[in-house]
Amino acid sequence: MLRQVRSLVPFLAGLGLLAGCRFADPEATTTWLFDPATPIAEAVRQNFWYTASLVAPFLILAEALLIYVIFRFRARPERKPASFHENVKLEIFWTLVPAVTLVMIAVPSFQLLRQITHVPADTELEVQVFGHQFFWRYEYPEYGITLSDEPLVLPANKKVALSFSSVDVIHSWWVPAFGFKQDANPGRVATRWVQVKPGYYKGQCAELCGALHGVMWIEVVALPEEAFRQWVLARKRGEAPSIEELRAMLPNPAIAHQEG
Amino acid sequence: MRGDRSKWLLVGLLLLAGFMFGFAFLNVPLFQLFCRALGINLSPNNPAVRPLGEVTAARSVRVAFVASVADRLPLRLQVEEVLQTYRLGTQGRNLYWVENLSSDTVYFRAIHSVVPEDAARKMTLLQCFCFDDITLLPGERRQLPVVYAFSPDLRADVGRITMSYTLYRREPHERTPAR
Amino acid sequence: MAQTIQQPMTFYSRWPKPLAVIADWLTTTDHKKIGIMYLVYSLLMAIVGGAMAGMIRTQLAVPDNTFLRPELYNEILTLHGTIMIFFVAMPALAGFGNYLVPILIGARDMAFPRLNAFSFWLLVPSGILMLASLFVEGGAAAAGWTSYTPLASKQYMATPGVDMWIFSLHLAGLSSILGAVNFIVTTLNMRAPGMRMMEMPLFVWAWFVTATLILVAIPVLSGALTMLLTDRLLGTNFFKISEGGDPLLWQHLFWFFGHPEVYIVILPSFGIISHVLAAFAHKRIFGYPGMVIAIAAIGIVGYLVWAHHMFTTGLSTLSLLLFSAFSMVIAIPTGVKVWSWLATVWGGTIRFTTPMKFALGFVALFILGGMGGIFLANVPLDLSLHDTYFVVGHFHYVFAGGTVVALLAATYFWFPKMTGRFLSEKLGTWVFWLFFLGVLLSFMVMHFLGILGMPRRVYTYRPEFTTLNQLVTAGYGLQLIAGLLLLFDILRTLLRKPARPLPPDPWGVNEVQKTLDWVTASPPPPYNFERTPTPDQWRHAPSAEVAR
Repeated sequence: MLRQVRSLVPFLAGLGLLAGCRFADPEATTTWLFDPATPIAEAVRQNFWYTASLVAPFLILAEALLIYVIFRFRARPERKPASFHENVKLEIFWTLVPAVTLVMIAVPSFQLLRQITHVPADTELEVQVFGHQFFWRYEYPEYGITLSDEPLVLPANKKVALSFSSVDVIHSWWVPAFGFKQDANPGRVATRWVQVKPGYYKGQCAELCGALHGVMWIEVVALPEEAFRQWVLARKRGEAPSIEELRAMLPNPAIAHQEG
Repeated sequence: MRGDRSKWLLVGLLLLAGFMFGFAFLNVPLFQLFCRALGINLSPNNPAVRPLGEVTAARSVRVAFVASVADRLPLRLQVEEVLQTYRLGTQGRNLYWVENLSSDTVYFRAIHSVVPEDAARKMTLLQCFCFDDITLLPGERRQLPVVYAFSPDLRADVGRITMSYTLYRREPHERTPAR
Repeated sequence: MAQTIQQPMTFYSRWPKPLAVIADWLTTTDHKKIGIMYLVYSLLMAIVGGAMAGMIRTQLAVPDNTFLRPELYNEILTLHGTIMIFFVAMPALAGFGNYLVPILIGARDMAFPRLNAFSFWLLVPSGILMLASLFVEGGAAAAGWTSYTPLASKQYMATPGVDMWIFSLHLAGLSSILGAVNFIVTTLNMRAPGMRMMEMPLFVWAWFVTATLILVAIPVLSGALTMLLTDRLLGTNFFKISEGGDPLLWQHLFWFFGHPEVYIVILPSFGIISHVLAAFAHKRIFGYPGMVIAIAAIGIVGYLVWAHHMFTTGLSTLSLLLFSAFSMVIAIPTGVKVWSWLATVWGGTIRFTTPMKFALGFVALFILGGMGGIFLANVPLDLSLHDTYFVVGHFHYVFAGGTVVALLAATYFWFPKMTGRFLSEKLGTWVFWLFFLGVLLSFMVMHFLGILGMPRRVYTYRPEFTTLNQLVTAGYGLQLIAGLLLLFDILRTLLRKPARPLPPDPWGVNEVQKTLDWVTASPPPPYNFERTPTPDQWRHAPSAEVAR
């Protein structure tokens, strides 16, 4: 019975593909696990591997025991089945050990949670995000700029406060490389913050919002300070640089989203 | 005998199911109480809002104002100062401007939301246009003042507050439900 | 009370045979026949729901596919979810519950046989209404099985399909509630004289806890659906923002039902797996009291975690912490189940029959699915994983890899009991491997897609996700072949007359197990037992208690 061994094959193949798909294509969506673009995403990535390192022993142990049982305890004419059916000490043990592990998972993640939800007071720009069926509108009230169904442009490496709400149904603003998503609820406001490395990032709406939910894309370009200032001036002059022009303003457009 | 016991049990369990059905509806007021306790979706001058404390600390916070228009209403809603620096315990003031861009009379009301929850809990709205029915004649532009205050016992780590107004359509002669 | 095995005289007794048989099934109050009708209903609906999954996977086989319009795609995904949960998983579990619970506790029937029949027949109009909604003008409900408002409100989804969806779920909910009441009363009042609660087989315990979950959770769904319906049709304002209503109230109410619902479809599966593992390891269940406590604990804590489906809505930090902590707590009793299953087979003499393969496959897949749950309970990670294919992969591991695999184990295990014939072991091996590998492949890859940035409920995707999506579709293909093989085998076996009648215990499991399903004939006579079962038929000898 090679069941369990065989069962690992698609798992490993998947991991290979995962890496392959991600790194073969420079235009692929960047994600918090491989190319975190904000301090939050970086922390989330660490938390993921930390959680995985605590969960993996249980996963491996349980699956390994299952494989062992399958090979070791096959019915054979000469073998008699054991008759034990309780062991209180063992049962207490396997209740307590996972409990302790869960506390170890919970404590750091609760600290990280505060970092994510708490918008610092020293943000340097205010961007208001509004969900529409089926596009995003971004308001920069300090500059009087409105972007409708256009890429979001942010100043790189600066703390930016984002507020989210919706004018129709529930949407969810999600750029995987930023390490969070936030629902845009109608009639309700929520706030988050980002501090993005220079680069080009892709995302999309993550809450079913109607027929065209699947193509409610998000694009973000995080420009270095000077380039961002240029963009604001251009925008105020009434120009609307295209995504190609915006990406050309990045320090190294070809690898910008990988290097950050 | 056993049958009788079963029947009573049946009745009791069905009553429990009926209660849970009612419980869903009980949640409508419960949810509002809960929100009020946590400071979500407060209506102005809510009794749950604490009175102003003494002005002892000179700590300031940033207050950001959000404005949006739902239901495809032909309105423009703007706020005079998007970001205000506000000293805790004092009265803060801001002005919203609403303009009817169409040639029809528009009936609407504003829905109000404040985050974070600790700020919402410790807020007093001395003047607010939230939950008021507003009628705007074609082309009319009107100012809507907001006067607010946050209690000085706001949690020390709250340095920024966001207040949002969203305009929703109302039918002309709808009565405001008693809430 | 005199036990009779003669068919009572009825109005159709003199009718021609085929008509009489049909009339008998239509009017039966026999829990076994009702159980079988539930199972057939579930199988038919599984064909529909599975075909819908096929349409979804066809659409997603390549990006920018035009196989389904975006609107239709959303309708199909909504009905796929709704049908699989309410019309496949729940009726199938209710079917096995109906068939087995009275037998396992040594009863003649359910406590209220006519109510039982009524529960089943409610599902028929319910299912018809649900399927018919696809064909009304404006289309079926398209807001997902969770139907969040305002998307599901009249303003954004005017189609009467949504109202039909609501009515259909009302009927299905009523069916479940009445069924649950029946299960609870049956379990409490109908046990054979002398059978204590702590002697009941785990499947009975699991169904008992499930029934209490149904009784408390489903009425809340019915209440929420009623609010949505009156908002849509009568102009009430439960969820209308401009009138002081709140769409988040829908999410709270829906998940207050929705999370226990997850356990409603997994707990009876736990019971099934315990029976099958013990049977073919030739051992008794390890840690029976612990297993019972774990089932109850999962049921109770399951009520305190609903908001973990709402971590990204902007809940307060305190609520996030509490709901995250409770969600993690569930891992503990769930872990107890897994360790106890492993200890149950440990040291046994395992016979790799088809049901045993499915049961071991269940444990393998359930461990994987459960571990994914820990990542999702961890809020900072959930903020990135929520509403992505990671979640879709996770709950399919638990639904398809858990509930459906357990149902397949149950099908192979109790098919001889129900019909007096075995399904093919040879084909069964194929069904198992195809289904197991299909599930493993499809839903593992979905986890990767979610991590890489593909959200759920989208009708197209960015080109870099093509390969992985094709793997998911390939996995679906394996599951489809498995399903067709099973269907073929069931039909073939039913059409063939068995060579000789099967003994009461055709698997030869009862010298260790001592459950009453293997005491009575295969299939059992009307009213199940020729004589009321006696404690020596289910109670383990005291000597066995001392071992270890």
